[in-house]
Amino acid sequence: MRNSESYYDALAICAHLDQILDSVAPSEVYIFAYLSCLLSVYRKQPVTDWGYRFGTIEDGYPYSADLAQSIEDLVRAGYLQQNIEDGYLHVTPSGEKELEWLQNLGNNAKREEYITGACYSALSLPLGVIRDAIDESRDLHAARALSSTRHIPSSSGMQDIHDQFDILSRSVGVDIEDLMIPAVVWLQFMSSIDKQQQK
Amino acid sequence: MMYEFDPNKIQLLAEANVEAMVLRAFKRPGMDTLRAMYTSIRELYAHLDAELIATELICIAPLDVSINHFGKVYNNLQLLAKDIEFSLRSSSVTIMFSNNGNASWQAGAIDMVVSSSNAIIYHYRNEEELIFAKGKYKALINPMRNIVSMFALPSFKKLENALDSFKRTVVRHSHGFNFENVWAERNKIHFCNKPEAQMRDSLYEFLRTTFRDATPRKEAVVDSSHPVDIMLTWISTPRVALIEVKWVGDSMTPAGKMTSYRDARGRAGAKQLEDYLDKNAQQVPLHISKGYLVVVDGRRRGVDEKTTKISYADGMHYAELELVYDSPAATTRIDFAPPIRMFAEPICNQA
Repeated sequence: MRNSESYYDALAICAHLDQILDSVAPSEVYIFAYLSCLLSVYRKQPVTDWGYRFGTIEDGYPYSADLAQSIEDLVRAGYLQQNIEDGYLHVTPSGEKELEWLQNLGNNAKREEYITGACYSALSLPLGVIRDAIDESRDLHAARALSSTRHIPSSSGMQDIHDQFDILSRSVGVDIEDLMIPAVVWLQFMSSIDKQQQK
Repeated sequence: MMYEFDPNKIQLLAEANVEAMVLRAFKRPGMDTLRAMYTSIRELYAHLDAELIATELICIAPLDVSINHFGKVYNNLQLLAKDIEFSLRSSSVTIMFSNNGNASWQAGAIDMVVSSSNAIIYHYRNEEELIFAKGKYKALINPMRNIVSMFALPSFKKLENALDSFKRTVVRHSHGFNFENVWAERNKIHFCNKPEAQMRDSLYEFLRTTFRDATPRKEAVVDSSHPVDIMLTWISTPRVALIEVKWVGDSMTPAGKMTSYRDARGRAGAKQLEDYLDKNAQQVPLHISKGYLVVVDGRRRGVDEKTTKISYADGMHYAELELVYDSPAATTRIDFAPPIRMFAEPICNQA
């Protein structure tokens, strides 16, 4: 059965990133969906309420089987167009209409806040920095070091995120109107960990 | 714990955040204007070399719906970038953006504190970027080393395009991504001793930050004993690129002994890469692998250990002279991309 949350997220993330990055790689959909999920945690939502789970691939990148299936469904339905050569995705005109319709359903309006907060960070930070920042989390580090797959966030990874978000929310507020702000600050912070470790 | 994190660092980053300053100043309309301005600046830098900015670049995005543009209105930032290029070499330039993507420009600066009372302003000078909102300003945090503006960092979907950009923007003038460290002296006549590690690291950093949907690894092992300089593995598709980095030219040890490499070095690299491709095909038979030989060319004519200055004729003698390969792989094998020679220019003295 189709996962409605991942179906919406895949289409919405592609629509936002398509405007910023000019087509989207499936791996980028996973990264920004994972960041959206973390922003829901920033708003004190339980991670278990996100609607689908994330894991890692051996190289230490976020992955979601539900999102992968949704991307496949959206391509099959003609809402996303996938370039045969490089696998990058574009939202089609019928996909834009489908998204407009979906935005008014159920909890999708609420999800939109997390998704836009995550995707807008790509306006402020280079994609490579965002990818590296996400990679610096404890879970993705461990997956890469052990060349293993695992569910994320793990309980220890979640503890890191809660600790970091607690400090962040004391500075910018849990209820801040625009989630692009905690997204950018957190990514800059994670990216700075990366730099310190390289030294 | 795998790493310690500094709670003060998060707080400092939050306090320095320009988006939070804009939200406090202008609420949601300010954030919408800021996002539109970021998009326009990114597009502008796609057509404009930020390093050409001799004085300052100012971009103003008023929050008013009705905007009085400076004069000619552009709906194409490529054309605007072309028109301001000359002025930017000698004077300040101010660009006005409207939310619909239109823009205009004038030579000269504006009072940014006053003008930001109902506008968001971006200011670039000497690799420092500021955002002004309602009379206040903060510096944009640039998490990237070696690039003048993070808005100017390109992103690539094709490896060939990324390597071409590395050749033109980094290697040619030895600028950025620590490539300047490959030289023994300021005039870029001799490479430093064993420069290959610095060259590899520079290319690795460039690919890591600009290339989409793939992850690079340094000195990746293709069999039990052979590491290729960089292995790039695509995330969404089963593709692998093996990149071998070689150099030709003259390098100097700290003791002043010179080692010279010429065409034979390129040929040895081609043979080495061919072996890697064969071994890699056995390791990951389900992946589509392709080899890329990158040769950094620092050849100069008529130099010895004592050369400290070079004429244009000698320094640029090899700029257009390709290396000769006798390996059929470099020209005929379909999993072997045409070798890419990247000429690094010296600082030449007037004759």
